[in-house]
Parts: sequence; structure tokens; C-alpha cells
Amino acid sequence: MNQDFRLGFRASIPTGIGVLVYGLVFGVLAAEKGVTAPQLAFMNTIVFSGSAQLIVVGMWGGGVPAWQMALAAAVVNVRYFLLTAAVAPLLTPFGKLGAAWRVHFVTDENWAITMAESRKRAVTGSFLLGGGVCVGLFWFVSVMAGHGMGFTIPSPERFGLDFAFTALFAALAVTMWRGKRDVIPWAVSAAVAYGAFKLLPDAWYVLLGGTAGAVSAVFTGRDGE
Amino acid sequence: MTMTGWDAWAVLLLSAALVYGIRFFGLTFGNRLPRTGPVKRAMDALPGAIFAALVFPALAGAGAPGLAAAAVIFVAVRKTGSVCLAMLMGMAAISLFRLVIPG
Repeated sequence: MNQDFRLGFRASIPTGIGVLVYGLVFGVLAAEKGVTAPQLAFMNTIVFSGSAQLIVVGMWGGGVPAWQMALAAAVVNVRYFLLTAAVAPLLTPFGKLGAAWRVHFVTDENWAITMAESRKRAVTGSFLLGGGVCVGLFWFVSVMAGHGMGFTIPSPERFGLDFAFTALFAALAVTMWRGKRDVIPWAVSAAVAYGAFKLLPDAWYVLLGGTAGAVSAVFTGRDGE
Repeated sequence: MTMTGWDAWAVLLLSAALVYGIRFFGLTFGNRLPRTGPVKRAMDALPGAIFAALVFPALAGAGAPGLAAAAVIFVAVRKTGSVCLAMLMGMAAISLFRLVIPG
């Protein structure tokens, strides 16, 4: 454990507080959906991605085939490709195997902090890993704590609890809004998703809508907008 | 309805394998990705488009109260910047709207 690991860990603590709140909420929702504590602990460790886990838990128990749930989780996380590509130069000095396990610790939060730090000085992969371990600890503890608090409430619709996932997804969607250039992709995505939701079984609407929206951006956008 | 046994663990293992696969691919092949052009535009638009696809049918399914709550969520995220606060306000909004708006 070197100096840069500690620095990375410490630099990620403020975002860890944000992760904590999100993790608590996610843990409560997972308990509502009937995810067990061992399943959740396992997921926190081996999936380790808030957005992917949220998608999976959102579909939990809905009769959606396993491969479609996993595929939906993967599609939301395609952007990780871009994150890990950007930090690849920091990880390659650790060798093939060393880079291969360290890359699991790349999340939005420690990635952003590492990229910001790299503009100020020559940062190492240990800084990234330290941040990832910090975020991971906050995530694991808060999700399990939320799950422990989880309770079942009679007539959940009275408190809008049946709407919790939709509200959370909607709020996350608002944070992803990039302005005018998203109008057409989002409209296409929503329209295709709605049609597929009415006509097709399972979770096809997520994959078809998202893909159609992304493809429409190819034809409607310009680079560097 | 809860998921039991193999189904649950299959979902966890499959999603873990796919999510890790994406991280590993970025690490290994990321330098070959185009930095401009159509593929880049599609990749940039994908996360938002996925969330739009996920959210819209659920909002429409919740009817007029759902769409009204969505407006509350939009304003809440914009004004407060907090996803959790916006979620709670959306939940409070829909339970209120359900009392006043039929269906």
C-alpha cells in the first residue's frame, strides 16, 4: 500500500459520502424487491456498479429471463468502456494480470477524481485503485445497511413506494440530459420503448429503445456539439 | 414474487461477467475506439437513451399522476442537484397526485 493509494483513497472520501446516501436507498429498495443479503453482498463485490445493479434489482422478480436482465445491465454500462480506455495508460505498468484485476475498481467516482488529479500531476494507477477501494467500501457498507433497514410496508402505493424505482430512474435520467442534442435520441428511444413495451414480452423495450435512441444520434448530431 | 435459486445466481454471475467484460475491453482495446464520428456519437448518446427507454413506459403506465410526478422530479433535480431528494419528492408527489387526479 503506497503513498498514491492513500492519497487516492482520501481524495475519494467526499464522493464516498454521496455514494453512502445512494447506497442506503438502493439497499432499502433491494430489500423491498426480495433480494437476499448474501445475493446483495455478492453483487456489490462482483458487479460493483451502481447503475448496473439498479437495473438488475429493478427487474428482480418480474419474470424477465436472466440473460435479458444481465444484458440490460451491460448495456447501461457500455460507457465503462470509455472510462477504462481513458485510464488504461495508468494500469498497463502493472502488467497484464495486475491491470486485469485493478480495472474492476474503476467506477464513475474514482475515475473522475483520478482524471482531475492527472491534470495537476503525474498520477499513478495506485491513486485510481485507492479511490476504487474507498468507493467500494462506502458502497458495500451503505447498501448492506440499507438492506438491513429494509422493511415491508402494507399498501406501499399509499406512500408512493411502488413508484420509487421509476422516480429514481427518472431523476438519474435528468442528470444525463445533455441539452438540445438529446431531444431526438430521447424521443426516439421513448417512442420505440413504449411500442415495444406494449407489443413484446420481457425487457426488450429497454434494449430496443436505448439502441434506437443511440442510433438516431448518429444521424442527427454533429461531432463536438 | 421473489427470484429463487439458480435464476437469481445466474443473473448475478451473468451481469458480473458482462460488466467486467466491458471494463476489460476498454482497458485492452479502448485505444482503437474512434474519437469522432458516428460510433462516438452513438456511444455518447447511449446512456441517456437507455434511461429514457427504461423510464418512459413506466411513467406512462402510472398515468397522469406519473407524468405529473415526472415534472416534479425534473424540476427537483435541476433545482437541488440531488438525485435522492428528487426521488423522494417524486414519490411524495405521486401519492398526492393520486388523491387529486383520477386514474
